[in-house]
Amino acid sequence: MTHDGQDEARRDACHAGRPSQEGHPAPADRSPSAADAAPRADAPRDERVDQAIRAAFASERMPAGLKASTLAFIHARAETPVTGVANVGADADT
Amino acid sequence: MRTDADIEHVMDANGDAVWRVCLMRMGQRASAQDVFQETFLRYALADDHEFHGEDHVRAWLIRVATNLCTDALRHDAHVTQPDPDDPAEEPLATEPSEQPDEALWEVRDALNDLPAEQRQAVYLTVCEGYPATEVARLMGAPPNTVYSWVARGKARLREVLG
Repeated sequence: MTHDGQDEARRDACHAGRPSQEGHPAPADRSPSAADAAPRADAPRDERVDQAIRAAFASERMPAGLKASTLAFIHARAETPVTGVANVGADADT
Repeated sequence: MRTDADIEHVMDANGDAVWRVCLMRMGQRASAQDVFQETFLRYALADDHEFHGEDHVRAWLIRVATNLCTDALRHDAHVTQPDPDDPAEEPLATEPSEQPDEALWEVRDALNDLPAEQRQAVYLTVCEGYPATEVARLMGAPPNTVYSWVARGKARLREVLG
């Protein structure tokens, strides 16, 4: 993807239910069935597949309570050195 | 260590994406939660790491989560044997209150049937909007492999959608 909207699309295309490629406009109705019913005329099949994939993933959200438990975990572990994971570190910088 | 406000902000902005990566790779919610928490611990402790914008933070978190999943799965493969009475959960579950249409169920089933790496490549490409070359960097895989994963995954979903 090389268009100008790439960065915006990356932020959370899945949450917003909007297409993330080639500047396709956001659907007026984000529900999967409505999206499927109105695919783009110039790329109906691929866009329909992409919309269905976004709809399937969009319903999977971070569980309630995970944020609070993660903060508690971080505070509990903050004083403990992190060890044992060899391939997480400098190479994580992309 | 980074401040709570910073960590909460980053979790609000990226928590769902990181959660999906953890869940689709680990297959079990309990394991996914462990990796999720470890990912944000790494972020909290990386207070000397300079990020260049929100996208950089997101990519870094996805890369760390992916690496942690790989390590956790590698470790689990060494120390445990699969329990046939404890099958993997569906990576894409449905809330009890949801009543998705039949097509969405079929897509979810098809996504759940994909190999985990294929599913993640499809997710990062379609939902996160990353080009295949960037997905390759995030997943530590050759670009051609990513192209193949995405093509196969989407081909399967085209079949499902008819």
